[in-house]
Parts: sequence; structure tokens; C-alpha cells
Amino acid sequence: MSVQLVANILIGIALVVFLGYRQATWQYLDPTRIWRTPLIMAIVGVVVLAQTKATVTTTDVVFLGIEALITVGVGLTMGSITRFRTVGTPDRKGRTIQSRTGWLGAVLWIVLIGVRIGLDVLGGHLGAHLLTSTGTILLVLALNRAARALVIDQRIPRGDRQARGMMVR
Amino acid sequence: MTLLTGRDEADLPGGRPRSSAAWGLNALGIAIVAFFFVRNGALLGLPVWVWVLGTVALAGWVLREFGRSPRLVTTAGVVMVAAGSVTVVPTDSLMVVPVIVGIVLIGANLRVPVWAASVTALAAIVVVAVTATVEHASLQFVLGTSGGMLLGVLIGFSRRQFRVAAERAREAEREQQRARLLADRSRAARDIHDVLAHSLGGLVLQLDAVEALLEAGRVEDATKRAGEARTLAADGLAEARRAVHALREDADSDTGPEPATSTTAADTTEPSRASRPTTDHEAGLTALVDAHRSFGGEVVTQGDETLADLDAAHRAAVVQVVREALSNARRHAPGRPVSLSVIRDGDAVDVVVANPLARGGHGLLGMRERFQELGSSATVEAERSDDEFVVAMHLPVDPVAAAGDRS
Repeated sequence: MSVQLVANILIGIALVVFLGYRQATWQYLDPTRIWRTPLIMAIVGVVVLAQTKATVTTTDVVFLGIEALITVGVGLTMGSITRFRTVGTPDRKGRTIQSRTGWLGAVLWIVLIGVRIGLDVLGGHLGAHLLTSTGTILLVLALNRAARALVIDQRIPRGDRQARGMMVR
Repeated sequence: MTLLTGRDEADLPGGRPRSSAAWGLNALGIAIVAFFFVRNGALLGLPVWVWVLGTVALAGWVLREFGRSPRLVTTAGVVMVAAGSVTVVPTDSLMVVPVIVGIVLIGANLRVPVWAASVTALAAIVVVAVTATVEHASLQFVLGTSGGMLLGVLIGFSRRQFRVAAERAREAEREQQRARLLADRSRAARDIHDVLAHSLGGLVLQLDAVEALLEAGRVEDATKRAGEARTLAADGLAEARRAVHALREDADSDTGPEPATSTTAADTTEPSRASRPTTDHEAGLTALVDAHRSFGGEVVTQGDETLADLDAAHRAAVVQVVREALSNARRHAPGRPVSLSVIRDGDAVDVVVANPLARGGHGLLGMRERFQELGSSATVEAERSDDEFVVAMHLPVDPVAAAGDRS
């Protein structure tokens, strides 16, 4: 096992543990910024991937596609099991909406890691080497977050607009 | 380009009829793809399963041509993508066309979630990549067809946005119609209130007086009062008729341009934004003050009662508000002196009606609305102030009158 692979795995696990912890606890949610994380991850992923020198084969596309499907599926599920609540006291950024996905969300993360490792091993045997690069991991996570953001974006409780106009006797 | 066949106005929720051009383009696309499918298939000697699945994909497209319900269209899209994607590699990418059309169909359908088209395209890419790996097709082939499918996702998404926008526009229009209806209704209510409250309120006072005079045995005075009451009732009736007439006319004239304000305004040339119940506004406040006095009210006036400095619309609004204020004063503070002052202040005229304490009624709301409708800098305030109820109006001077002053 090369140092590179160990580093990749550690980075991936650290990120997933962090995200898994966030799933299980109530987190403040800024509806206008839910797309930020996937966007940053995707940009970094693409940059890293562009520096990776690996011969891409159709097998890579197959495995990447399958992984993308699974990660999107998990992301959509996470989005739909997300629960929202509004708290009376806004935090210092003025956010009042909190969200959490509960332990099911954390379990989904573990499933995603399992699938990821399984596909890595299988793909490695079949000659799909692009899968194991850090850039791909980040892209897969970005896809997952983007799918979740897409669902949350539609479900998020938005306070009804305040009735405008003066009250007159 | 057969790609363009996907861009029609079809599949609006509710099964609107598709335009014949879109139908024709789709039919042309089906014919072209079917022709090359058969010709190339015969040349390449395709296996039976490719023939079958290719035919199924094309059948899905045909189904979509004749399908109306959103569910049928979605099903057709799924069939086209599923059967088409398997045959993309064997048919040398010809079958990517029904796949792309299918993805567009799913993406544009408002009944399915927004991510459905992306996921479908992703699945189709996986299928194409698998068949490409099995048949040893090049990576470029896979990437090229994948690019086509992603394009389908984009086209579907933009069509979806277009439909959402159209839906929203319809919704907004409905909302606007409703708001207009409500505004009309509240204006009618206000006009009716103004007319009826004024004349009926006055009538009650007169009849009270008649009763009191009869009890005191002053039959002659009572007869005189009764005569005045009759006149008032007749006036009120005439005014109510005029108001109803104006409201009726309004339905026809509201669509036309606003009539120009004219100093010789009769009822018909009254600006439509101004209030409907129109008594003799030319006389300004004189008639109102006289009427108030005849009801036994006491009013101290100051300034120009004829309101010569104002244009017809503003004068009418002032008359309505003062009538309301006097009517309120009679109702809530009978027998107490009312002060009415008209003060010219540079480019503006201030009209103030003050009377000892009264409560506000619906009329106050109507006063404000009436002034808002004028759309000028005119304002009206009605509030308690030091044991008095004060209605103060501030209005711009009619430019014509102002010019006359300077010359």
C-alpha cells in the first residue's frame, strides 16, 4: 500500500467522519449557501483530477458512472430524510433554520464509503485506476452534496412573506 | 439536426395539444433514424437483440408522438432511454438520438423531480460505457455520446424552466385580476358608504328634531324640518343613483384612457381616479357648510370655501372628505361647534376640519384611500389632537389656478 493511497484514504475518512458527525447533530443551515460546499469540492476535485496523469479507459467511465449514480442516490435520500427546525435565537450570522438527518444519515455515509472502497478494489482489478485518485473522491463527494442540496433547496421551510402594507383603522 | 426535434412546445401539464410543426419535426426525426437504422443494420448485419431493442426505442418515440397524458410521455421517455442506450454502441451511435430525446422529455416534465433527467442520463452513460467495454469501442466514442446526453439534460432543463416561468406568469395574472376585483369592490363600498352615511345620517338628525319639535307642540317648526328632511332624502336618493350610475359606467370606461382633468368638469368628465358620488363640486364646500348648518350644526369657517385654487379632481376629493368629517362630527359630537379652515400656503392648500372628540369610522379609511387614488402629493390626516378630532388635508394647487394668480 503506497503512502499516496494511505493519505487519500485518511483524507477521505477524516472528511466523512466530519460530515457524518454533522448529520447526527442539529446544524445551522443557511438556505443561500447550501451550494457552496459542493461547488468548492467540485472545483478542487477538477483541479486535482486535471493534475492526475492516468490513462482513462471505458472501464473507468463505467465505474465512475456507477459510483456517481450511487452517490447521487445517497445524496437525494439524505436530502429527503433531512429534518428542519427553526430556533428562536438566531446565531451570530442571523440563521434561524437548523437541520439534521439523524443516524440514518450517518449510516448512509458509511454505506457510501463501503461502496466506494468496494468499487475501488473491484475497479483496480479490472484496470480502472482513475477511481482511486483524490480528485475523484472529491468529485464524488461534491456530487453527493449537490444532490442533497438540490432536494433541500426545494424542501427548505421558507417563512411566508410578511404581509405588507400599513394597518389603517 | 434531429436533435432539434426535441424542442417543441409539447407535454405541458394538462395535455395541451402540441403544435403541428413540433409533431412534424418529431415525425421527420423518427423517419430519418428509422431509415438509417434499417439501412446500416442491414449493412452491418446486426444481431437480433439489437434489432428488437432498437425497434422498441423507436416505438417509444412513436408512442410519445401520439401520447397525450404526462404519464405516457414519461413512460415513452424512459423506454427510449433504456432501449436506446443499450443499442448506442452496436448501431454506431445512431441510437443516441432517441436517448437524447427521451432525456429531454424527462427533463422537461414538471411532474417528475428536477434531478430525474440527470440521473437517467448518468445511468444511460453507464450502460453505454459497459457496452463499449464489452465491444471494445473507443473512449472517445463513449465521451462523445455522453456529451450528447448531457446536452439533452441541459435542453430538458431549459424547457422546464420555460414552462415553470409560463406557469408562474399565469398564476401572477390570476392574482392580479383578483386584486383588481377586490380594489374595485372596496371602492364601491366606500362610495356607497359616503353617500348613504351622509344622507341617512342627516335624515336621522332631522327626524329626531321633528320628533322633539312635535313633542314640544311646535307643529309649524316640525313641518319645516320635515320639509328639509324630505329634500335631504331626495338629494340622497339622487346622489345614490348617480353613484350607482357612475359605478356602472366605470365598468365600460375603466379600460379607456383617463379623461383629462378639466376645470369645467361635469360628472362625465370627472377623472375616473376620483370618487364617484359627485354632488355639485363646483360650489366647493359652500353647499356642505350650508347643509351642516341646516341640520342644526354649528360651523366656523375661514378662508375660501369654493376651493378655487384646486383642480376638479382634488376639489372633489376634498368635498368628499369634508362631507365625511362633518357627517362624523354630527354623529359623534352633535351640537358642538366645528371649525373649517381653508388656507393657501404657497403651492399648496391646507384644509382642516376640527371638532370636539369623535370616534373614527369606516369613513376615515375611505378618506385615506381617496387621497391615495389621486396619485399626487395630496395627503390627509385624521386624528385626535388635544380633545378635538382633526381632519387635515394638504393639497397641491391646480397649476392653471396658480398661473392665473401670478398673472
